[in-house]
Amino acid sequence: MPGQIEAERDYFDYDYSNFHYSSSDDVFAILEPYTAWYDQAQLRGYSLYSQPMSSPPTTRIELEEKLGHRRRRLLNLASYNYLGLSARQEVVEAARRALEQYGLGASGSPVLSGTMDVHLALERELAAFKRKEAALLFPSGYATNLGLLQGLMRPGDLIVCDQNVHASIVDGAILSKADVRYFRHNRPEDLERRLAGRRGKKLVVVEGVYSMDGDVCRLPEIVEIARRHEARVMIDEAHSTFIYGPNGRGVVEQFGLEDEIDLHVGTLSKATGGQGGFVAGSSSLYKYLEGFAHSRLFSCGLSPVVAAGVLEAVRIARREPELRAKLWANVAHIRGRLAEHGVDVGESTSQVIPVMIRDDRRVFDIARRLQEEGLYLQPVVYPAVAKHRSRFRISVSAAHTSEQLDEGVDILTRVLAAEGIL
Amino acid sequence: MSAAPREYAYREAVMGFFEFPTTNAIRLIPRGLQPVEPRHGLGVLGVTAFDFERSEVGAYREIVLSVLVAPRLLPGEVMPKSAMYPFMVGTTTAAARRHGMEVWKLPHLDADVSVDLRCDDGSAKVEAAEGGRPILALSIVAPARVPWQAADHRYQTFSQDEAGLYLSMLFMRGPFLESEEERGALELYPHPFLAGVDLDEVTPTPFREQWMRQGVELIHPLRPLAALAGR
Repeated sequence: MPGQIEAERDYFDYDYSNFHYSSSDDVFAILEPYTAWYDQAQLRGYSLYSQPMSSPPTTRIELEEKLGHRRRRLLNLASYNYLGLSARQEVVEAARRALEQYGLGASGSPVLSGTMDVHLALERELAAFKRKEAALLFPSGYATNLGLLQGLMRPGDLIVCDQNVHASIVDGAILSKADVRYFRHNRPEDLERRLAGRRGKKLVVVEGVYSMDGDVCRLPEIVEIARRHEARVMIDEAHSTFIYGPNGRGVVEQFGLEDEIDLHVGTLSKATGGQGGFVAGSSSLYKYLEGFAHSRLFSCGLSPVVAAGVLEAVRIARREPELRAKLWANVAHIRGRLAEHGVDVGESTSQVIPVMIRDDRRVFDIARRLQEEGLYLQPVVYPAVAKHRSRFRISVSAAHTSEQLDEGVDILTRVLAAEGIL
Repeated sequence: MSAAPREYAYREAVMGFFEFPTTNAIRLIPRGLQPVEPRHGLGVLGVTAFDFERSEVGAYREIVLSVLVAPRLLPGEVMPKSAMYPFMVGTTTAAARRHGMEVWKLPHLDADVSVDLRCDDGSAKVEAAEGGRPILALSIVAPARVPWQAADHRYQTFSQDEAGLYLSMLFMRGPFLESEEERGALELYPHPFLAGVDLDEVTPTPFREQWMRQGVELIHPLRPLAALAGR
């Protein structure tokens, strides 16, 4: 029998990070201690993750508890459906029509038989939206960053990332075999240090809005430093496309830096409520990545059903700026209500609002209690965030009513007060 | 693990963990050990200072440089929280140095080091030097809203000699404080103690800081790693 972990006493001494590395003469040796921990972790709160939902991820959801199998109807402040488009009637209808027209899947790589006219229509729509020559579709946001970095960067090149970038960027950088460095989160002076004296191809990678803290990239300073060191800049606007800027073109538009950024990444699973990702840029970039981005080249094309639904969602997002206005009004409303109660929201300035608990042991108990009171929020703990910076992450949607937001704040503050957090 | 562990009672144990290139980490560890990477391309340099008040070689202070490595899974034994390979140790007494080399087969600086350790409720500062030459300065800062908690942590340490690699279980018991607020700092000076470490490549801010007080370190006897092979 391989290594074990002790029972209850040791549960909190371990987390996912402890099971990443181990040495043994048997590939499977880690499975037994991991399973022992996992089973305890489920009982202690990890069962709150991946609870199956039986409704769209709209403002109210139905889900089934993983352990008790009770069905619950909950107010949802956890989904990325920022503009409320995931289940909007026109979007669902577009997807339904596509299902009738194309069937379920693309049934091939985009470079072989897996490109349909709806994919090209979506790419044209995205390029027009971003005011770029071209946009290349990928089957997921993860695949977008993976394929972009692997497709473009090579051994000996330098990639300098903010330390809080998404795993897809880190994995893409690893796959590229470039030299990878990290600068301290949102600290341009540290970026400067990492770039100083480096020659050759250099790429700086940041995000528009960081998904765990909800803070915005210090883009003007970063761009200035990158330019001075002759580095290209890539920005992943997974959480800011369709949200930031007068026309929703992201943090780059907000800062007036659209033409200063070399690689624009967006996802289609957040504000537009679908799936997939895209890179927007020049037509020559499109052609190159088509040939070299493996995560796209060697994957089946995005389902035409999803592509059609997203295409409609993008069109709605473009023609209804009032959705963005409603989202920001909702953000202001809930921020005001949280501030009234003295809720700690960290550094967030966006629609992603962390509720800082800072107690890794209690966050699951609080999450369970919130659920029992009717509120769906996901706990976030180490290693997703630093130790003792556990939190809940509120995702505000344009689809929320102010009454729903008030209801959520009432539940949250009542539970936090009862738990002695407030 | 039949033989009794050796016990070292400490007043303070101050630990900082710093990112540095994995390529450097690999140069410091024996073949057969695998460096842990918190981020791709970056291993972990552990800097630890102990103030031992009681041990079989009396009271002494110690600084240890180690590389965090993958723990070895052993059949029938509890999985350790993490593992380390100490590649350089400095002690304030010759007796402690002899003990560390003979019993634990750990490489030591062959001279007394001075370890100045100043702690208050909010921070701990360590300055180590040898013969008036500075070696390192480490500071850690207590996190704002995290209380001290009782801990009983299980680790593995590795060491080696001409005959091969050894493993031992190490337990740290006592009040424990941990933070990832990146408020501490490390300064490293050119000194033989740091031979093999690319000083400019060590991130000067710890990504994790740990502090233990008034506790006990228990180290179980070395076991040859070769004897532990197999499923």
